[in-house]
Amino acid sequence: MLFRDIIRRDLKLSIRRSTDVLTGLIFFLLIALIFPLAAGTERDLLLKMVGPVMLISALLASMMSIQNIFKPDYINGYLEQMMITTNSFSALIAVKIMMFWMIFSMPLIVIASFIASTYYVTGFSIFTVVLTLLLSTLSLVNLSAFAASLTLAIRYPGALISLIVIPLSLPIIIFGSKAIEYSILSMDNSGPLYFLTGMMFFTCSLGPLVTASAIKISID
Amino acid sequence: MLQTESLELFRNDIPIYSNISFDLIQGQHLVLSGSNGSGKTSLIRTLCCLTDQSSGCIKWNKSNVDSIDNDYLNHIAYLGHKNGLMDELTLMENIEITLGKNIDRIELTNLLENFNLFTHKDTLYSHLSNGQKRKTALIRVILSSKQLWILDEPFTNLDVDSIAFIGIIITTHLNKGGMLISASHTPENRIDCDIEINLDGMLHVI
Amino acid sequence: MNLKSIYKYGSPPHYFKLSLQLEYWLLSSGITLILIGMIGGLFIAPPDYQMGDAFRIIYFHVPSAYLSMSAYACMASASAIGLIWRSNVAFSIAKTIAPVGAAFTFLALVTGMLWGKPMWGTAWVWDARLTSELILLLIYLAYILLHQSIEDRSKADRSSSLLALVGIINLPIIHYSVVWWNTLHQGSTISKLDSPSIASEMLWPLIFMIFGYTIFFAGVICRGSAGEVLIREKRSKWVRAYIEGIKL
Repeated sequence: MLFRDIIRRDLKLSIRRSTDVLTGLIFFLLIALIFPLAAGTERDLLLKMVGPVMLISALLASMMSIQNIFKPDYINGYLEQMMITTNSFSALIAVKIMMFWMIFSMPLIVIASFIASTYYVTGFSIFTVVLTLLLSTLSLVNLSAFAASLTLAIRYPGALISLIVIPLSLPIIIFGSKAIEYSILSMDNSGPLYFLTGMMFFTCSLGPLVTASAIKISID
Repeated sequence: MLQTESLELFRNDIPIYSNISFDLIQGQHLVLSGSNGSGKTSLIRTLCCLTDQSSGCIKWNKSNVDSIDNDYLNHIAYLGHKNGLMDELTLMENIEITLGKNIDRIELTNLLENFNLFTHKDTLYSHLSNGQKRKTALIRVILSSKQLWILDEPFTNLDVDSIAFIGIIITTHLNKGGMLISASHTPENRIDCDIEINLDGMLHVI
Repeated sequence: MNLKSIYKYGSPPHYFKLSLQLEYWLLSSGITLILIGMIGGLFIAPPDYQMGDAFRIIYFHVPSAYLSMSAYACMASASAIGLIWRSNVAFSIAKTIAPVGAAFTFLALVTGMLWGKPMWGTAWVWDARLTSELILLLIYLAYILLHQSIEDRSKADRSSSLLALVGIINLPIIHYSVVWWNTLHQGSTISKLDSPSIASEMLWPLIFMIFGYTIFFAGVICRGSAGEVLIREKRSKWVRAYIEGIKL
């Protein structure tokens, strides 16, 4: 099965199955808007909170959206067909995850830059927010896809996906928040950004491999 | 070309099938028969490399299917219980997405007409009846131009005309040098059956 | 030593016999070492000039913390061996270690909090070590819950083994991220154990406790993993012979 076909298929399906990605994005928007309402709107407080809020909302949004990356195809039998007709199942999974990330993160960044400005972030820092979110959503999507593939055979996984993803994603949350915070304070934030880039390469290279193994085990 | 030697599967310590050995060459049709729960589906999934067997091996062209350079999977078209098609796409979109753009349009039209699906080619897949969905999945297998067809209960939900038409298709496929493995619990599809393995009473009880 | 004599313990019947034989010795020697360490630590060692008698909790905290992390490493290695060689013995060991390791992690957290109260004034403080232990507990829980939620046993074994492997690769990353994060919020918490100048009268009970805990842990795993091996090999002849031997 050529990758070109998979990309076309995923694009077509994402329009028809648009509720998955939309759910995540709306979730992101709502959570990020709730925080100032709950915590107060002083400028210093909001500037301090924007890093953590962005990262945590991105984490929760990707966990919510990714639940349906494999489940419908598992239920209708298409995942088995993909397993049989490809030579490299891991590469196919990598393409699927990348497609999901592109469809998910492009709107997310737009929404995030809007939200960042409501948190009084200005100028170059908005670019940092966008960059941090790009890097961290790549890692988060790979981790969430892994968790989704582990629980593929379970009918109602419930909180299990969160329990798997959140401890593993803590480094990304910590360094991502620090990257945004340093940039707002006009300090040098290259350290956290380097870490995020490293984490991104790490999860993007190994993530599809373990996800493909987990799918093979679940379909067995 | 396809050989198995003493295939055996246990799941949660329950024997599913055991001691399955056969040799299938071009133009042959292998039928797996047996009552419900006798292990036909598990055996078929093992032959497609979806489920791993507990012991025994499968060989394609004399080399083990698990070895790296074996291209067994490139020669299979599989149809299981689930049809493997997407609810959100129309019938034509499903066929195009699963088979690619360059399919034989003339033959596709011929098949659609014979299955009475031509008028439905732009309806959403989820709006079709179960029999029509099954026929679409069969079209996918037929047009895939693969040598070995592995079909698990292909005739569920089909009407008599369609079953007769599929009989003709299968005969043509076998005559062109293809192979077929099918599982069924009804006798009506013993078309050109060369080998039959009955899974009832074959279990290896300790 | 002949390697073959070790390899045979990878097969279930030999492992089963070995673990049941070793269990008594491991448990008894472990408890003995722990008792010696406890008497040495609680009564014989002199009180610390900074903290008084409160420091004695380290005799329980350090072995628990050390064991929680090495138990996870053992679980990950057993999972790797199980995945690569499809070994039921390895999967049984990994499954048994999970709740025991989680229990030790919980103990480490509780003793850490008990230590924190006299030292820092509050029960919980966002110390790097305590936070890492908490995350480790969550990772153990994820393994246990995943294994429980999947119905097919072989699928459950393999999926949770994958999770354990991904966890062990991420564990150093998580630990050092938390350490880095903690140095930013550094309070006045300087752990007693970081200083190399621990007196030898305080050190020897600690060594006894660490060895005692490890041997006791090995003894606990023996019976649990033997039971798991028995469950996974239900249909084999040796299990039937064993059960009938017991019946007689």
